[in-house]
Amino acid sequence: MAGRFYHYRRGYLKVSMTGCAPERFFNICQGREIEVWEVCCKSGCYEFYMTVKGFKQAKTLARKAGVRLKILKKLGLPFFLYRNRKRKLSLAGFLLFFIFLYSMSLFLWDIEFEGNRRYTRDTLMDFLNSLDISYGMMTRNISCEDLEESIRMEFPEITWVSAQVSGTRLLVKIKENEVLSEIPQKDDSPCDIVAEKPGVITGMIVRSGTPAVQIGDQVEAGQVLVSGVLTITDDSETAVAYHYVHADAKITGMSFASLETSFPACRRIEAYTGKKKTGIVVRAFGHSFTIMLPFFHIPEPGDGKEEEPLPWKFVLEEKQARIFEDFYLPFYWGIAAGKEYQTYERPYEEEEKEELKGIINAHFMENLEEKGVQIIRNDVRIQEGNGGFTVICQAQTEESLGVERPLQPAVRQEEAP
Amino acid sequence: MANKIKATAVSAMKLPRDVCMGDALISMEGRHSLVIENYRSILFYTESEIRILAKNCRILVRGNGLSIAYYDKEAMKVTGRIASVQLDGM
Repeated sequence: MAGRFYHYRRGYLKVSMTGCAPERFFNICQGREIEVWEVCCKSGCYEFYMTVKGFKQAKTLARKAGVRLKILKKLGLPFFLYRNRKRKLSLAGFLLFFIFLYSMSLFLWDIEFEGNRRYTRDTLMDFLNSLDISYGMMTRNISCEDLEESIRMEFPEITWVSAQVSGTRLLVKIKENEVLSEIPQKDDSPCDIVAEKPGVITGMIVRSGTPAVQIGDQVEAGQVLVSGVLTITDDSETAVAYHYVHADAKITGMSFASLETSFPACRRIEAYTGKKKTGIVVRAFGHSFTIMLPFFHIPEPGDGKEEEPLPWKFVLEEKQARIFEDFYLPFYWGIAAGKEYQTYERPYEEEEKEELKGIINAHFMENLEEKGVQIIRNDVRIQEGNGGFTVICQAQTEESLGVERPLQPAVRQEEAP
Repeated sequence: MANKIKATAVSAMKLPRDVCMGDALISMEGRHSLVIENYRSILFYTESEIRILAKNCRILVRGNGLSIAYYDKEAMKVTGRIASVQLDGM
């Protein structure tokens, strides 16, 4: 039994049969291998489908079986083309459609990256644009080998690239280096360690350099904690030489961190009115077209005055048209859903203030913990004033206080013997 | 007699009876479709009854709106609301 497509391509017939020995006709057809299918019996009349070739053969067999055959319908491609032979514009449109598809298949309409984690899609797209690879260019002008080499040269962290043009799509697969590409060079230049912020020293481990403060000392921001100058003295403790080293120490201290965030007294509320509308957006070659039903406002009786139209918020979900998996077309369509809203201002309520206080403090604490700071105490309060209120977050912390600062040339000259 | 010997031999050697003896194979999918293999010819066909001749038996299919989806030398598929399938010996 041949397939449905085969029958459609070759043409087939729907036939009705009447007579006294239909079973004999069916058995003769079976014996002569004439295809008959979808046989059904409707009040003594039999209807079934046959191929055109089979029907020609069956004409003589019908006489033998004492039945009459009548063609009900002619189906399939040959009959369709014959019926529409005078519709030249339809044929032209049909051919133009395929010519259009073919011409679209020559251009690049989609670029996809896989495996990029460090480099964003925008970064890679900018780089492709700098190589004159962009949407709408001819796919035959893309050299995948050159593109792979350029990406590897431009981005040293990308260790493997595979670029391939498939249909109207450029697929770039990337593997990034997951280990350090180079060992960081140790900095041996002479430097001091100074206080980053004011605080009280709670711990010092000096590996290199001369300590300038002790545990328990109060220090100010910028004060030298460990000097990078090693003084060589003789027996009478007179400086005879100076060595400049890269000061290295772990210095911890108690410090304070604070964050102030101000808010106006009133907050802006966007409240949806409940009116919605949906539309279809079609975009192609830089032009977009929207089909959206207007929201008809029915004025209340005795209203009299015209109301000012309220703003709408729209959310668009856009998709690119494609025929097969890799055959993208430069047409985008989407559904835009709009909601009407109105804005008004009202003072913050106490619960809202408390909620804001909690959120800001949590964010503040999270930021400190990310820096590796140990939090000893935390206070948060709301201060009213200046036509609004301020959320003040404070924390007593124990953290690393020292930062490196290169030795000043002036210091070197002063201390030189 | 020869047939009996053949049947005994096929049974003893555990050969498939549909291949060696020409027995009809009937498979049903629910009550809506029925495929019959190894049949010989259609004896009678109306929308409520189909009688089929096999090598060793007659198959009688009863139901409503019965139609033959396809048939050829090997197999036949009957669709519709099948009420019963009866086998008559020959």
